[in-house]
Amino acid sequence: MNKGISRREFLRSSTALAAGAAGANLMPLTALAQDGLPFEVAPEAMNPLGLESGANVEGVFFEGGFGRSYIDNAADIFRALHPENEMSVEGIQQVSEILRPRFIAGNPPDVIDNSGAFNIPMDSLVADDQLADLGLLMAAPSLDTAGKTFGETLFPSSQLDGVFDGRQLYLNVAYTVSGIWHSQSLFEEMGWEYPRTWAGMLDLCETIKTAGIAPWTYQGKFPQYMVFGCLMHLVHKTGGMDSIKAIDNLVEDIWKSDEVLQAVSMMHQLAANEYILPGTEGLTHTESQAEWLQGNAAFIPCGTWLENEMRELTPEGFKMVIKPVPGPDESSYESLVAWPGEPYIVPKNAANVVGGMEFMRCMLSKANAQFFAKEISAIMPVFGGSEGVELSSALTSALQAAEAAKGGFNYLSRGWYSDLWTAVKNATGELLTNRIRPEQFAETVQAAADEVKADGDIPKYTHE
Amino acid sequence: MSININRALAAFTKKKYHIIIPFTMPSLALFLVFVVYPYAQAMYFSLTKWRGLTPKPTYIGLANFEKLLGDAFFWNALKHNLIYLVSIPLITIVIALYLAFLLTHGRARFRKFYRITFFFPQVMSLVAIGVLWSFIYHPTIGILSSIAGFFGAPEPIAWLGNPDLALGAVGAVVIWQAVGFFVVLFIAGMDSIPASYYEAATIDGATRWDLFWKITLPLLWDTIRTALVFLAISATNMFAITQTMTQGGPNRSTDVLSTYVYERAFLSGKFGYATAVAVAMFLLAFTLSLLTMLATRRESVEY
Amino acid sequence: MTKRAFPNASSSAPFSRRLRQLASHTVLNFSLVVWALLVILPLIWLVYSSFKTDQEIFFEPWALPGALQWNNFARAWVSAYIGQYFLNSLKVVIPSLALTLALSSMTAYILARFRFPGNRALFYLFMAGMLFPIFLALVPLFFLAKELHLLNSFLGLTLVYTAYSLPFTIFFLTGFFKTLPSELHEAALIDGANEYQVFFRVMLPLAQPGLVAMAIFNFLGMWNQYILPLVLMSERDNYVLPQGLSFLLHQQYYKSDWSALFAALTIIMTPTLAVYAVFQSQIQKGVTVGALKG
Repeated sequence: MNKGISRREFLRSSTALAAGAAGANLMPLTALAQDGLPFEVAPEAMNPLGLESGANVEGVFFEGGFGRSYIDNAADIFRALHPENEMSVEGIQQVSEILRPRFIAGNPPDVIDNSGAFNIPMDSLVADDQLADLGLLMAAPSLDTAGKTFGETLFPSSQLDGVFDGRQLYLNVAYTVSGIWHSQSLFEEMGWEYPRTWAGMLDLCETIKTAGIAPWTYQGKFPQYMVFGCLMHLVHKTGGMDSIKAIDNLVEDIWKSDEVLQAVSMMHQLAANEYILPGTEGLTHTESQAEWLQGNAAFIPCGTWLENEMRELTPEGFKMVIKPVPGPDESSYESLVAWPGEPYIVPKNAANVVGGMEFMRCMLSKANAQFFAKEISAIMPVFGGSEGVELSSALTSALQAAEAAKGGFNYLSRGWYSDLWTAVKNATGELLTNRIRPEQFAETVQAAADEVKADGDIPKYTHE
Repeated sequence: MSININRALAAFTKKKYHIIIPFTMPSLALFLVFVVYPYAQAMYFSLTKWRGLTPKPTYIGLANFEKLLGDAFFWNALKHNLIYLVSIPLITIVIALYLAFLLTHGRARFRKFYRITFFFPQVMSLVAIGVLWSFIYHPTIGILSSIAGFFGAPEPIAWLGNPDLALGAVGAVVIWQAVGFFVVLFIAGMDSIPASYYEAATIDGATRWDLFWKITLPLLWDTIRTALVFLAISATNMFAITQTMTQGGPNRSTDVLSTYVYERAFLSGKFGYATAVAVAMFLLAFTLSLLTMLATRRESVEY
Repeated sequence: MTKRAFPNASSSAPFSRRLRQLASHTVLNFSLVVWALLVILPLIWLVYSSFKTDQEIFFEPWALPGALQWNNFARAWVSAYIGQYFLNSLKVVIPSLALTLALSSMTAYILARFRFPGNRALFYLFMAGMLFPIFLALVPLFFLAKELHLLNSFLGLTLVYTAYSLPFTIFFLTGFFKTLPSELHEAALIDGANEYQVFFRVMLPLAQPGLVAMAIFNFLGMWNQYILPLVLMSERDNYVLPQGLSFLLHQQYYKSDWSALFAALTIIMTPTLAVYAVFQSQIQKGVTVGALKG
C-alpha cells in the first residue's frame, strides 16, 4: 500500500481548482455563526466523541505566519456545531515560556498549537507523557466528508511523525513540500531550463554564473533550510528511503556511508565551485529570500510557506515556482520532502480532552481546509481541501511537484533528536562556507548521532 | 561571655540601628521573597533530571555537573564569555571616561546636545538594535560592507556569518550601546566633584591631563569600580543581544553561557542540566565580581 | 556649569601654545562629533524607515522614503494595541520606579555609610541577585505569584519589577553615596540634625545625579521588560507594551511586514526619549540644589 497521497486525490484537487465553480456551493462563512453550519453533517458525525454540553473548551494557539483567522473560523464551526459549549481562542507567540507553568500545575489548555520558534519540544512532551492519545478522534466519523473517518480524510503520510509507539500524539495542520525555488519569469527571459539531474544543475549554475548572477543563495544564518530543502532530498535520491530510515533509526556509521557521503558531496559542490552568493552566510532567512526576489541569486531552497512569507516584498510579475532537487540521474528526479507542520496537541491532563479533540475535527474539516487554502494560500493535509479554491502559481507548482512525487517522503527524527539536527545544521553551515570537507561533515555529524544514541535520557523511536 | 552579649545588646540599641533596620528591611524582604526564593528553587533543579513539564523533578545529585565538565559546548561558550569579560568592560570604560571628561571639562560646544545624543542607543529597544545592526552588518547592502569594499575588499563580508568575525561583531554592538549610559554615569560622578578642587589645581599650573589623573580618576574611582563590575556582569550574561543577533551561531561561534542555557532548557527540554550550567555561570560571575571588588578595593570614607 | 570650566587661554599666551591648544581642541571636538554621529544616525534611520514601504526598507535600506507611509503607524497602533498597552505600561512602570528609588536609596545609604556586622554580607547578597539568568526563575516565580494571588495584577508586577531592579540600583547607589563628601554629614550632625534629617535633607539632594541616572536606567529596563510580564500577565487586557511589540516582531518572522514594526518601535521610543530629555536637565538642577544646600 502506497503511503503517499494517491495520484487520484491530487488530480481531483487540481481539476477541481481548474473548474473553479465547484466552490459555488460553499456558503459565505460569515453566515456560519448565526445560521448554523455551512455544510451537511450526518447524524452520527454530530457528536461522535460524546462531548458533554456545557463543557467549555479552552484553546491556546501559536499565532504566527498563518495568523489566527483560520483558528477563529474553526472555532466558529465548533460553536455552530455545539451551541451549548463555549470555545475560547487565545493567540500567543512564546508557547514554551507561557504554557510550561500550566503543564507543571496540571491544568494545561484543552488544545494547543505547539508551533513557532519557541514551542515546547515534542520529544519532552512525549517523554513526560503529557499528550492525549488521539486514536478515538482518528476513528471518529469525519465532520464533512460523508462515510469516512476523520483519520481517513487526512493525507496518509502527513501524520506519521506524530505517531509514537503506535499512538497518534499530535496532528499536523499544515502540509508543505520543500524543494528548490526559482523565478519562472527570469528563466523564461534568459532561456534557462530547470535541470533534471544534479550534473545538469551544476552545468546550469556555471551558465548562470557567467551571466553575472549568483546561482544559489540559502537562508544563511539558518543553514537548516539547506538540510530540509536540499540535503535530505539528495540523501533520498542517492540512498533511497533506506538511507532516510537509517538516519532516523541512528544506524551505526550511517552518516559515513557511501550514499550519504555522496549526497553531502553533491551539495558541497555548490560551495566548492563558488556558486553561492557571496555573503549569504551572514543573511537571515528573510534577507536571503529578499536577495533572491531581487534577482541576485537564481535558486533558493525553501518550503511552500515562502510565498506567504515574502508577499510584501515580492516584485510585480515575479512568478515563483518550486521544483524537486535533481538527483544523480533522471529516475530519481521527482522525489521530495513533504513536510507536515503546525502540530496541534491535546494535553492528557487537560480539563476537557474530548472538547480538544472535537475542536480538532473542526480544525481539520474540509470546510476549514478550504478556508485555509483560500485565505492563507496554504494547504491542510485534508483531502478535497483545495476544492473550489483558486491557487497561486507557487502553490500550483507545489501541488504538481507533490503529486509527481506521490506525496513525497518525510524524515521523522527531527522531532525526536533535536541535538542531532542542531549538529547537522551547524555542520551544513560550515560545509557551505568551505570551512570543512564532506568527510569532516560526516565525522562531526556521526559523532553527534553517536552521542544521542548513547544518551539514555533521550527516548528512542523507530521509523518503520 | 555575658559581657560580650551585653556589649552586643548595647551595640544593637545604639542609635544607628534606629536607621539601619527600617532602611534595609523593606528592600531585603522584597528581594528575599521575589528574587532569592525563586532562584533558590531554580537552583535545586540543577541537581535533578527535569524537562520542565512535570511538578516532580528526579533528584540525581551532582550528575549534571559531572556531565558539564566533559561538555565541549559548555567550555566553548565559557571561552566566549571570558573573551567578552576582558574586552568589553575595558573598551567601554575607556571610551566613556574619555567622552565624559571632554563633556565636563572640555570647552566643547553643544554639551547638552551631546549628553542627550550619546544616550540614544540606551533608549532604543533591543529589537530595534538587532534590526538596525543586521542592516549595518548586511553583507550586500550594509554600510560596513560598502566601506570595506571602498577600501578594496574583494567580496562582501558576512560579519555575522563568519565564525571568525561574529563574536567581535556582536561585542561591538554591546559597546556601542553601553557607552552612552556610562558617559551619563561618569558625568554625574564628575559633576559631584567640587569645582574648587580643580580651580586650586589649575592655579598650581596643572594640565588637563594632570587634572584627569590626579583629581577626576581617584575621586571617581568608586563609580568606575561600579561600572567595571556592572560591565563584567553584562559580559557574563550577553543573552538578549546574542539571541537577537545570532542565536549563538554560526556554528556556536557566538554561543555564550546564557544562550547555551536557554537552548538546553527551552529547545532541548533539559531544564535540570540547563540549570546546572546556569549555576556554574552564577558561581563564575559571583567569584569574578568579588575578585574585581577586592582588587579595586580602597578605604572608603566612613562616618 | 561655566564656573567649572577651565579658565580660557588668555590672548597673551605664546602663539605656539595657542596653536597647540587649537589643535587639541579640534581633536577633542572631533571625537565628540564622531561618536555623536555613530549614535544619532541609526536613530534617524529608524525613524525615517518607519515611513517607508517594506520594499523600500529591504531593497534600499539607506534611502529616504519615496512617500510618507502614515498607515504603518495605523497598522502598528491597531494590531499591537499600542494605545492600551501604553497605559498598562505606565501603570506598572511609574509605581515600580518610585518604589525602587525609595527603597534602594535608603538601603544603599546604609550600606555605604554605616559599619555594622553583616554589612558586606548584605551587599553581596544583593549583588548575587544580578548574576543569575532571569528566565530560569520564571517557573518558580509563576507559582509564587499564583500562591500570593498576584498573577495578572498590576500590584504583583510592580512588586516583581521592583524586586528585580533593587540589586543593581542598590549596588550603584552604594558606590555613589560613597563618593559624596563626608564633611556635610558631620556638619549637619553637629548642627543638631538627626540621622533621618541628614538623609532626607542633606544626602538625598546631594545624591540626585545618581538617583536620576538610576531613574533613567530603571525606566528603560522596566519599559522594555519583556520576560517577566510574559508569564505574570497572561490576560490580553493587561499586556504591557513589549508584549505588543513582541507580537509584531514575531509576525516579521513570517510576513516580513517590517514597516509596521519600525512604526511601533518609533512610537515606543518617543516617550523614552522625552523622559530622558526631561531628566537630563534635572541632573543639572540636582547639582545646583545640592551645591546651594551645601
